[in-house]
Amino acid sequence: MVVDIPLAPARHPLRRLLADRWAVAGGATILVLLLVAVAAPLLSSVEGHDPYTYDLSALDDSGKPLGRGGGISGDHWFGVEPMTGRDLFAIVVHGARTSLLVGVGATLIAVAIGVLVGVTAGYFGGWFDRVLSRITDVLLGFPWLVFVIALGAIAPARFPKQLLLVLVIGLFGWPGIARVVRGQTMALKQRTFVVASAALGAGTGHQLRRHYLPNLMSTIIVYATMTIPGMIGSEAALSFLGVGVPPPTPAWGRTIGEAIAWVQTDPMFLVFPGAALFLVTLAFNLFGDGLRDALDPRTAKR
Amino acid sequence: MIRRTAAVALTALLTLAACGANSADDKKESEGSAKGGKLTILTAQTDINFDPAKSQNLAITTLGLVLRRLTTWDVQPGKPAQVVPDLATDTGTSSDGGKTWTYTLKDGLSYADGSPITSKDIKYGVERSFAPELSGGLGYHKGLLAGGDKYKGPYTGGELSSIETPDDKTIVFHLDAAYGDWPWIVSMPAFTPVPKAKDDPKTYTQKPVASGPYEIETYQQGSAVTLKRNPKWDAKTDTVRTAGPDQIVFQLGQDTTVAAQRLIADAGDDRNAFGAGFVPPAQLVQVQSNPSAKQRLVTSDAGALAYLALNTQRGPLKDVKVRQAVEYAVDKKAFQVASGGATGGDIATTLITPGIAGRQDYDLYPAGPSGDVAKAKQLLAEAGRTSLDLTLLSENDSDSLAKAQAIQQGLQRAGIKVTIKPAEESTVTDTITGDKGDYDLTVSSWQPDFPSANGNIQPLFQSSEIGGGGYNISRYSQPEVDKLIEQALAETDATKAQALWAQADKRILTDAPVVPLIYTKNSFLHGSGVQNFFVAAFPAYPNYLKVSLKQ
Repeated sequence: MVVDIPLAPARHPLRRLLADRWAVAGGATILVLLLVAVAAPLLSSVEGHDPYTYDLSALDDSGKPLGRGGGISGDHWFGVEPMTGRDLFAIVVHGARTSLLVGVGATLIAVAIGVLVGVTAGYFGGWFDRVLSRITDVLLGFPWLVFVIALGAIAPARFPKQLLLVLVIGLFGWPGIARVVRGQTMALKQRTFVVASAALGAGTGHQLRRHYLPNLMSTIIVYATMTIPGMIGSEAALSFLGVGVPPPTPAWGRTIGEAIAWVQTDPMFLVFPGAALFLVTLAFNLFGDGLRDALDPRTAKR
Repeated sequence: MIRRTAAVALTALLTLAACGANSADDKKESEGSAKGGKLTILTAQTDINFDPAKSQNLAITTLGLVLRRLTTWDVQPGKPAQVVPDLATDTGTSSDGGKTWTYTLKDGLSYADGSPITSKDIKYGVERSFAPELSGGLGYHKGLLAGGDKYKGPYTGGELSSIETPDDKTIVFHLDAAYGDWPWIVSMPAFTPVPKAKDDPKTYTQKPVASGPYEIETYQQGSAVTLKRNPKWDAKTDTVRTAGPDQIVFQLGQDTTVAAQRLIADAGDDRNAFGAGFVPPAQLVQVQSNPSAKQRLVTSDAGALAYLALNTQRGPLKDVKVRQAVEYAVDKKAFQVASGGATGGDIATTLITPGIAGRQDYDLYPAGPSGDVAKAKQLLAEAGRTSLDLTLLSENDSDSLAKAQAIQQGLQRAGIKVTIKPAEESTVTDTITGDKGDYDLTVSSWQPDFPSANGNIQPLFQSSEIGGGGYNISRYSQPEVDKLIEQALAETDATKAQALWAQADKRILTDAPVVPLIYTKNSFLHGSGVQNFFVAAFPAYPNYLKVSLKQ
């Protein structure tokens, strides 16, 4: 008996993805940024600086970078940070590590929990579904930013802050995914091939593994891709507020927060980390959009 | 360790920027002080506390406009601060070798409601500052007045017998021990008259009975406080307040960066405004390229001491060799740049700050502005430490974090790993002045409450000031130093006292409980319509009492 009757797609999803120029541009940017993050120490050593060493000789008497554009030169490609003389290129490049690490890590946690909760709630239904759905609702409305700020104050200084951020952002990030997955699961439950396999006596594990998850996979991938920029944004927001990754570990959000005060005198200090954050969130959003169109033709733009 | 509850509120940490600033560009002293206009003061505080018992205000800032004390400060540009009579006819007559101080009130003093100011009201004002529910104010007197250590305030404890009021004009203070700086002590907010009939400890902070040239017109929590003239104030009885503006408005909760930008722009009502907070480093740079704003920037002389406190009761920092290694490893130059460079302050090597009488300049750890890494490593090796891992507690605003990182990278060079723990301002204050002492390092800054070396040393290094709200944040306890401090406190001969303080200064730094970083300079901005705005050597805050507006 044929369990699944896929409508043979006109084209393979990958082809459709490659045909979408914006998605390709987004994907390429993500790839480049990933490479930059992985090779950050290498890149900054090519330039000859690390993001921690002070260079007071690059500053004038008042702490302002010497030279144009915040001290842009052959030595300092993006100029230097005011008040410290640390190399801005090294800071931005290393900041990509923090952003991507926290963004991707938190997304993985959020997706794992969200899928687990969504699939089980949708599959079992009944009181189990009602309890999990209420928990999801509560978390959706939870003032997590306030909670994170409070948590930052009581967490021991030795506890790695990056890990704390990944955990906290991830643990508060799953309700959206859980809702979508639950809805999809409930829809799948009515599909004939699922009903048939249940009628034939397939066990819960078998059904979940062979029927539900494979059919949810595209939703999950698309949703995860679209979640990453939000998570990166959350990390930047927390760092901006001074409760993210502690200094001197480079983080775009914190640098942006510091740069606000310098907009009038040293605008380039804001431009570089700001552009990096803008680029990475835009790239993930474009790629996620393209991916959704490619994997789920029904929602594609006509 | 004796823990005085009285020791609660010592000095004006820079963060308690309840102070304001005047600009020194008006050299038209000849214009005198014009009357009239509406002065606006921009402050980051979200609340102004007018309860004298709970206040840490300097005599020349906010509270001084509304409330008078027994004595006050005469602060003028280019002259050292003087203690002068305010409600009293003189700065105090001492007898009994400096243990008894007698004051007589001037004639014709009255409150805003017309009732006369009596010495009994001053006694009551001092008594209520002992009440636990009104803690938080400057509390030097609480440990000095006889019986003050057990007294719990007038609400539960009756009267304090060491203050006598033989008649409505006379007040006599009896101290436990001789105290030469007592005339400065009675210039503090607690020595403000409070009429007993009008006292409600819950609301007095918003509704004080005015004795100064202004009274509170409106008090809008979190947004603004407006002062209007007090018609009963008589200029003839007051030598320090010029009472220029007709109205003074405090705009609360103003971000310092935004406030600085407004004052740089100098538009509309902001022409008649000044900022009570320090101009942040980024705006200092901005001002340099703006000739109009540059003219309206007032920078103090090097004043308050910014220092790195080492918790002497924690792990490896118990070892004096390790602490001395830190003295050499710190990069003071980087800290100075993080504080705004040369406009931010001068490199410091002593505890007693410049401008304080009797200060001796010395450098126990000659390492130059950028530190001596080799010497630090050598000292660490002598102490048997190859690596060190310390926590630095810092406030989480970007200026504080910049300073913390300057310390961090300096120590890193000598192999000392520093983890910065950022926290809210109130959390930091509670932790460093609390009993647990859960931190290794912290950066702080200290402006003495009165211009005597006493104010530099005693609150920061006497062992009785550890925890319980005290500011001995390096938790330094050295019996020899405690003895020196007690000796110096009791010394009524100024020259001898100064020599003792200078001796204590060096003795303390031998143990390296703190690293002096810079003598900070405070910068303030004011609008083009503001006159007589200056910042003297001490205190490094503008004198609110003399500010006036161009008419």
